[in-house]
Amino acid sequence: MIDFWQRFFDFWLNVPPERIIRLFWYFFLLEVPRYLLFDLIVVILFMLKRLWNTRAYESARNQLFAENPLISIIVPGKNEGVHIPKLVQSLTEQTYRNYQLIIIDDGSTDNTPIICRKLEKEGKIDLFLRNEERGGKASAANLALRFSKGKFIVHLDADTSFDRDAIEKILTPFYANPEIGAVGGNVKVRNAKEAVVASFQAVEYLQTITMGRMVASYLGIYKIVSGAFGAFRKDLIDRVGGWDIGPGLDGDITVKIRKMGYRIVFEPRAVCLTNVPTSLKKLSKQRFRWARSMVRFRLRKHADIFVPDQNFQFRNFFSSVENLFFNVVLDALWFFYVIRLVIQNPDILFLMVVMKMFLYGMSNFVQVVLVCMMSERGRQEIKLLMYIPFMSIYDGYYLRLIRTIAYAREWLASSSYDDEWNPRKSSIQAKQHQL
Amino acid sequence: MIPGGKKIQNAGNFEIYLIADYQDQDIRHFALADALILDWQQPEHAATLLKEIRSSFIESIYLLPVFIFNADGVVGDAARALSDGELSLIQEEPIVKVIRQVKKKREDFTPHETNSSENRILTKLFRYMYTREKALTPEVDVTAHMGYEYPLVRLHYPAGESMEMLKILRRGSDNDFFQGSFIDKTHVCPSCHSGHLNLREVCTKCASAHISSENLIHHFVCAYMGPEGDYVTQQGLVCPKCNRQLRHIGVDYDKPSVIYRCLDCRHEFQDPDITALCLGCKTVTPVENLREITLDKYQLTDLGRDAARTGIKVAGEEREFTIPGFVNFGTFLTFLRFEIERVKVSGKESQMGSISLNLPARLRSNRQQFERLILDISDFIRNNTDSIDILSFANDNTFFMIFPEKGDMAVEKMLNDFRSSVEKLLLNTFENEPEWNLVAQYESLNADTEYNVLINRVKTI
Repeated sequence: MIDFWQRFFDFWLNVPPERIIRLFWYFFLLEVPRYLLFDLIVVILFMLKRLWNTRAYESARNQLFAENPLISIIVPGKNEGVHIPKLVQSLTEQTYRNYQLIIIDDGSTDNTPIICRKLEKEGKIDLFLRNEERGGKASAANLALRFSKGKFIVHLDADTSFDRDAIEKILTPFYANPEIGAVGGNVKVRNAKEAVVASFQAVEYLQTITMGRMVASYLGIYKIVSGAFGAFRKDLIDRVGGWDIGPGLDGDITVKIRKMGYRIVFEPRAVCLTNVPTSLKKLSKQRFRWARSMVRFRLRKHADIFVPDQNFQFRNFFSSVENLFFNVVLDALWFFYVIRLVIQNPDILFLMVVMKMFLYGMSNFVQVVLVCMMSERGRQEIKLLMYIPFMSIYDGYYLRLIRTIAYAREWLASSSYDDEWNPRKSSIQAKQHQL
Repeated sequence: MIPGGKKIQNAGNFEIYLIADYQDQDIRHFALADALILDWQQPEHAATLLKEIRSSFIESIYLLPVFIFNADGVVGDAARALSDGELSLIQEEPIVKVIRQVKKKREDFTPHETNSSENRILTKLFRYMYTREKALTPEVDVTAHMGYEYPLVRLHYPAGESMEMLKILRRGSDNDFFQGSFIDKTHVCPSCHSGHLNLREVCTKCASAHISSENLIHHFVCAYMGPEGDYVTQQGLVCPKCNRQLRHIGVDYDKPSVIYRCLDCRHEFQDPDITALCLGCKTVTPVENLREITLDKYQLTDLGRDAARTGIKVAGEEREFTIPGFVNFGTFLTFLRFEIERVKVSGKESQMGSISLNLPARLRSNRQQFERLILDISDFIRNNTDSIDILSFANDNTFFMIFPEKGDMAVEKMLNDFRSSVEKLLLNTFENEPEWNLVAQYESLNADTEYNVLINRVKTI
C-alpha cells in the first residue's frame, strides 16, 4: 500500500502541469468551470441578491399572510398509506394553515384506503379520493386538481415531510413577483443513514438540487419543479390542462408553464425531506425513468423550443440546450474521452483513476462545503463529506452509465412507453399519439 | 264434546276435533281433547286461537297437537311454527302419529312447580320441544318489532320486548339446555331494538341524505380525470382538456370510481357515511353502532331433555321469595283443596281471590326494586285480611287469597280496595310506564267446584 502511494506521488509530482491538464481536460475544461467556478460565482451572487431583497421578501411574506389565500395541497400516490400519517402531521405543524389537503389513492393494493379514510373522518384530510383501478400519476394529480379550490396548488409526494415554514416559504415568491408561475421546493434526503447508496444520494441532492437548482433559478433556466415539493398557480395549471402522461411529468408541466412566458424559481429555504431508494436496483430503475424522460420530453415533445418561430424564447432555448449539452452530449463525449485515455495510457491507468477520484473529490468537497455553509442544517450535512472521495464512482461512473443507456434506449426504442410506471392502457394511447 | 267443534271419528278412538266456529271458544275445553284441527277459512280467528292454545301454561293445553286445515297456502310462518302441520285432507294417520308421540313423551314428565316466571317459560319450551322433537327457529316476520320472531317464545313477551325474549333463550343456551347453531344475524336500533330501519347513505359533513353520485372518468390519452358531467356534451362524451371524443370504454377511457356531492352543503366525498333511521323511535344511528343480534336455531341438549322431564333445577334460580305471612304456592294449592273439600262437606261457601300485576319483564328486571314492591303490597294485603285467610304469591306475578266463608260482596269490596291501593303504588313506583295491567278477580268455592278444573284455571292466571 505504502509502495503504491509512493509511486502515485512520485509519478504525479514529476508530471508537468500541461500534461495533467491534457490528461484530465474533460475535468479542467468542462466540469470545473461549469460545476465549480460558475456555481461558486452564481451562488455568491444569489446570496447577495437575497440579502439585497430582504425587505421586498418580508413585504411579500406579509402580503401572503394578509391575503391568506386558500391553497390546495395535492398528494397523488399508490401504496403510500404508511407515509400519510407522518405527512399529515408535518402539515399540521406548518406556519401557513389555510390549506385544503387532497390525497389521491391511485389503485393501492395495501391498507392505504383504510388509513386515509380514518384520517378523513378525523378531519385531517379534506378529501380522499380512491381509484379502484390505477390510472397513473398524471391522472391522479389531475383528479386532485379537478377538486382543488385553492389559489395555488402545492404538489407533494406522500413520502415527504416538511420544515415548519416550508409551505410559507414556497408560497412567498408568488407575492414577490407576479410573473412567477411556479416555485420549486428544496428536496433533501431523510433516510441518508439507512444505506450507503442513500448517503450518496444525499450528497447528490445537495449538489444537484440545493446548489444546481439555485444556480439554474438565478440564470432563469430552472426547468423542473419537483413533484415531491412544488407550488403552482392554479389558474396556470388549469390553462395547461394539468399534468400529461409521464414519466417526466414534473419537467413537462414546468416547460409548459415556461412556454406561457412565466418565470419558474427555486426556493432553497422551502425544505422538504424525502426517502430515497436504498437499494441499487430501485435506484437504477428510478434513474432510468428520469433519464428516459429527458429524451422523450425535451427532444421529442418540446422540440419546438429549438425552432425559431414567433413563440421562440431564448431563455427556454438556453434552458433546454444547457440541459441537453451537459447531460446528453457530454455523457456521450465522456465515453470517447475515457476510451481514448485507456487506449493511450494503459500503463498508468490505475494511477489515473485514483488521480481522477482525487480531483473530483476536491471539487465535490468545495461544492458540498459551500452548500453546507448556506444550509439551515449544515452541521448535520457536513458529515456527508466522508462520502466525497467515492462520489466520483457513484456520480461519474454509475449514474453516467445508467443515464447513457437510458438515453440510447429511449432514442432508439422509445422504451419509456413500456415502463410499468404508467398503466398499460395509458402507455398504449400515449405511444399511439406520440405523446 | 267441545262447543263449536266437530269430532272426527278415528280408529284409535282419540278425541280429535275439527274447529270451524271460533265464536266464544274457551281453550279450557281443549284440555279434554287429544288433537285439534283448525279450519283456516277464517285465518285471523284460527291464528288467534292457535296462539291462545300455545300461550297457556296448562300442559294438557299447550302441548295439544294442533293441525291446520283448508289453508290454501295462506298460513304465516309464525302460525306454521306453532302448529303440528298443515292438512289439505283430513287424514287420520299423521294426526294419530303426533298424538301418540306427544302422549308417549308426556309420560316421562314429572310435576314441576316454580316461583320463577322465567323457569316456568323455559320448562314449557323444553316440554314442547321434547314432545315434538322440534328446534326453536327464528322466523322472518315483517310485523314483528325486530323483524324476526321465535313464535313460541314470543307468546310470553309483549311486542316491544325482543331483548327479553332473546335473553331467556340465551339463558337456556348458557346453562347448556339448548345447543345454538347460527342461522342469521340482524341489526336493530340500539335505542328501542326495532328491526325496522331505513339505511341511507349520508353526507360525511352535514349528515344529510340529500346527496347525489357521479362516475369519475379517466381519459387515457391526456390523463384528464374528472366527473362524468365534465365530459357530457351534445356530441356525446368529449374531453374538456384535449377536446377528443371518448368513444370506447376500456380503450379511450374508464370509470375507476365515483364521487358523491351533498346537495345541501355542497361537500364532495367518496365514501359516504351510512346511517340507520329507526322507523319506530326515529333515532338516527351510524350503522356501526347498530346493535347486532345473532339469531340461532336452538335444539335441546341431553340436559335440556332432562329438564323437560323433571323441570329446571339450576342452583340459585329456584330461590324462594319468602313473604312473611304468605305460604308458598304448593302449600296454597293444598289449602285450596282442603277448603274445597270442607265447603263440599259443610255446604258453606268460601271465596278464592287473586290480584295479578302483569308487569312487563323490563319492570321486573331490577330484582331489588321488584321484591321491595311485592313486600309493600303483601304488607298491605296481610294488614287488611283476617288471620284465618290463606295468602300466597306465585309466579312473580299473582297474589292468591282464600277467604273462608267471607261472602261474595265482602270479598269483592276487599279486592276493589286492594286493587285501587296497589294501582296507586304501581303508579308511584313506575312513573310514565303505562305497560302494566292489574287484574283482580275472585271465584266462589262451593259444592259444585271441581278441584281439577279450578287448579287448571289458577295455573293459567
